[in-house]
Amino acid sequence: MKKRKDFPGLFLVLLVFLAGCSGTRLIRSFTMPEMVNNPTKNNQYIKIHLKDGGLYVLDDWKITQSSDTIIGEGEFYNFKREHIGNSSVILEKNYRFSIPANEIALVESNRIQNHAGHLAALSIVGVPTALFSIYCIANPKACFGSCPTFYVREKGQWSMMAEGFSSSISPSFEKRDIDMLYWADDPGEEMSVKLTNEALETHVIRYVDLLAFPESGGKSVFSTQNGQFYSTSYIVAPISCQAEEGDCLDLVKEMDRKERFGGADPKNLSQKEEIIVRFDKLGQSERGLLIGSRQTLMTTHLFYQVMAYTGNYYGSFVSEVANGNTQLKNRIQKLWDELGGIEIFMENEKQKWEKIGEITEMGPIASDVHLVKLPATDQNKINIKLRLTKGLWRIDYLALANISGEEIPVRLKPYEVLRDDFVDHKALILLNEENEPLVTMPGDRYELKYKIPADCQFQYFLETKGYYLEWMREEWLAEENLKKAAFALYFPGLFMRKAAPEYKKAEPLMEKIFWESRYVRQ
Amino acid sequence: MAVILLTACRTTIQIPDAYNFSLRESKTTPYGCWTILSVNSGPNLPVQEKIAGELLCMKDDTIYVLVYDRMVRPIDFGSVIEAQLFTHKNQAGTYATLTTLFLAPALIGALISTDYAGEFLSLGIPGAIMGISRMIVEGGSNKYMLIYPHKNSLDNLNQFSRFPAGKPLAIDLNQLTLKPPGENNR
Repeated sequence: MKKRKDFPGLFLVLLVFLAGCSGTRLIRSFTMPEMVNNPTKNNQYIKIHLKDGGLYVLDDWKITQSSDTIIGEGEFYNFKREHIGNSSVILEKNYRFSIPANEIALVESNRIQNHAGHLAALSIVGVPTALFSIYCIANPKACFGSCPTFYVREKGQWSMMAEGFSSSISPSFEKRDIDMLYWADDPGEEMSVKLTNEALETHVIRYVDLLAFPESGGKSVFSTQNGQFYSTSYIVAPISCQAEEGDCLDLVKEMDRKERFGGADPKNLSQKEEIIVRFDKLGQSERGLLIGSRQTLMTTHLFYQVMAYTGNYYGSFVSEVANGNTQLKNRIQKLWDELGGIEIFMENEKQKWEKIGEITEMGPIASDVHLVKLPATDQNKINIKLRLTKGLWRIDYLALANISGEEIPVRLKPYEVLRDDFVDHKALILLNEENEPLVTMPGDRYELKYKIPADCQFQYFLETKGYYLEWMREEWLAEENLKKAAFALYFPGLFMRKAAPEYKKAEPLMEKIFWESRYVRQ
Repeated sequence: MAVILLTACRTTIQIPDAYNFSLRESKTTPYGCWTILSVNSGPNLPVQEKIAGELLCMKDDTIYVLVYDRMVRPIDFGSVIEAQLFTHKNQAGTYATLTTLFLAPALIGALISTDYAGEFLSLGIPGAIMGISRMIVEGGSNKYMLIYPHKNSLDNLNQFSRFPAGKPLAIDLNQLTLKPPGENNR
């Protein structure tokens, strides 16, 4: 598809067009009294010029049925334009004048042209952006953040579909990450993946490989949390889904970007909630729970907050962890563990909940689907309980699938890399050799191209490996407080309680502002 | 910002404040509009004179302009070379104010959060483009005035006089006063 390089230009032209090309104009018209019609809306001013030079300015008026008198409220001036009444009465506002037609010389009306619409257009554009700016000034940690982001074509358009290694916040947290490209189009002979760095971060990327699974017999492949792939058949939706707020079945029965989520607890950010999901049993084969989910911005917010507390020492902290300070690394891990993943329990024959797995993939940008294998059971119904931190997870999809068997992917490496639409041989080499990584900076964007084997349709996953370094923001340095940083790391449970009120204040608009304020170059 | 300020400065500065009507006031004022006439100052004389004042009325090929309190200048149609009549305040200033208001949070954000200066500015850009475009349109437009003989006849100007129906028979125009400075419409 042709790139729309002309989009910014068109956008500017559109804005200028909206601004209009004609100045504000006052249109004045006159009618004889017998030709005046009743007003069609409120506050429609008229001026009634009298034969003796006097003037009524009326804002609420009507004509009598016989059309021989105009009755209304407003002001009355004599020919000298003194605000007076008739021979003896001082007129007050709201006095209803009765003006005989035979005393009227002309009736004047005025209309403003080219103003209200332009004012509205400017306000429609200006007010929301001003509000966003104010919100982002007040809550900078809620805006402009992101992780390594991947776009793939969906219905012909670039669509944000995966985020790489969101929890890999330093070299020591470097890890492999697998994301299902759930909505990706069938690419034909070549698949393009757009890789962007849209935040103040340094992304260190070892590789971005496409994992392809040949499609056969309507089977779908899903990955487990630890990176194994299984083909599945006969996927069924739950028969019920109950959360704190009530029925949530409609939100989770399909992977459709309609997500179930609730607000965080106002007193404790690590407060848990439970969702109970019931399924009809599927035959005797091995089964798995499919769960499509992503995080809210809670983790990002808390991460940024702890970063701010470390202030000028943030670099030292990162170096410490990178240089093998396992105690500090464990403290950071414990902070995230306090929030936890989505714990999955299954009800056994003794009606006891038995933990069978946990989804821990971090990141607020793109939902990913994981398979959690279920233990064998003879029960007619399968009851699943999800235990998760309130306000931390958005659940898009829950389903039960029969597992057919383990699958091995065809691994595809990029054969061409474009940077800002120009071929970048060096980036191609770096992404194909794991030893030296590709390093991207804010605003960088690459398009990675993969050759797809002929004569077969595939299902795709993206496997990435690397880490990223979040940049300290200058304005966050004002919040430097090592005691608070230590408090967060040593007493994560108490920290979640302390941080709750401030987070709750920002929470209602956080997601909306985040998405609308991201500076995305496509 | 400089563009905003420069454009905003291009407003109607030739007329008294009292006659520089806001849009709302232009619909309700009991007074005529301010006019500036270039006239031949005498028969067969090429000397031009500028006469400025409130347009009172027109009658029998004569324009009556209230130049000072209780001082009316009758001007023959034939002697008018050029006329400007100001119907309302140029709106460039209004749009400049709005644009500044809408842009200010983004500018403040860019100054406070220099790391995100680009992002903050990009938030303010759409509103700024629209506002500045509108200011340029308003500033460059003469829609807030009527100009004779360009596009308008003297009859068009008469619509914006104090007595558009003509001079009332019983009144002495020399009793009339200009709109006092600072007087608002009721």
